[in-house]
Amino acid sequence: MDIFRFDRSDRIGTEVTLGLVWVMAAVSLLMEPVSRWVRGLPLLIESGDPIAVQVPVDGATTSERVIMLAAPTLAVVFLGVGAWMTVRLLRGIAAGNPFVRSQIRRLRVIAVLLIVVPSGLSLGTFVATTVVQDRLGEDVNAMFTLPVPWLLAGLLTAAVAQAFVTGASLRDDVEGLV
Amino acid sequence: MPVEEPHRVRCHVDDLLERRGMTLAALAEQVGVTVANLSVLKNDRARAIRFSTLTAICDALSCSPGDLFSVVDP
Repeated sequence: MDIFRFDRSDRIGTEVTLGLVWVMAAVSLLMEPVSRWVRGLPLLIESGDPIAVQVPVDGATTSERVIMLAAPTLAVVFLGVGAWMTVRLLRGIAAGNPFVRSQIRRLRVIAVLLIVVPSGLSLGTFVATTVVQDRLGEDVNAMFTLPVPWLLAGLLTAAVAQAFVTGASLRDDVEGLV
Repeated sequence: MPVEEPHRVRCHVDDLLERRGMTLAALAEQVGVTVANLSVLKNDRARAIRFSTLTAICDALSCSPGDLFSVVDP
């Protein structure tokens, strides 16, 4: 028995988990700040010094709240794209057709998203916080951290995509071999 | 997509099956390849054949490779 075999139940479990992760990301990145906005509660921005804490900011304008929501919104959208690409990738592999051009394209998109989205979210939040901080004069230290684990995950995914390119070439070589 | 290598090899497995009163499915079972693969061969869509498969087909049909394949004029 191959205990490492990725079978149908593993694939369905992964798809369900991806869906749940996306929903949780949407809730944590968007629902909470939007809810605070609707209820008229102070805007929360993250200060990084000496420890990462959330600082309530009174008097934030609509445009400032929108600026703070821009990066998380884009992150949630691209997370959804990445999750969907992963589902399509897994279904293609399950269908017995892993080494085709569309699968390579999906892997490359996932690699780019893994590299760009976490970094973009961190950078976007940093820029938005700086804008709000400047206007409100809050004594807040905006933070930008490079998400190295996600960068590595993206680079590894890009390497796997390249392996799939070789696989597609080998598949072409044996297509029509009886 | 691979560049299609032109060839003029024609497979006569259909004729041989008819002469021996054998079906493609029966041949596939004897040879140990799928019907789909044998169809690829029968319809001249194969690009290569393993020597082990060729040996098995010739044993099953009691023929030689020259009976199975021919090269048509351009």
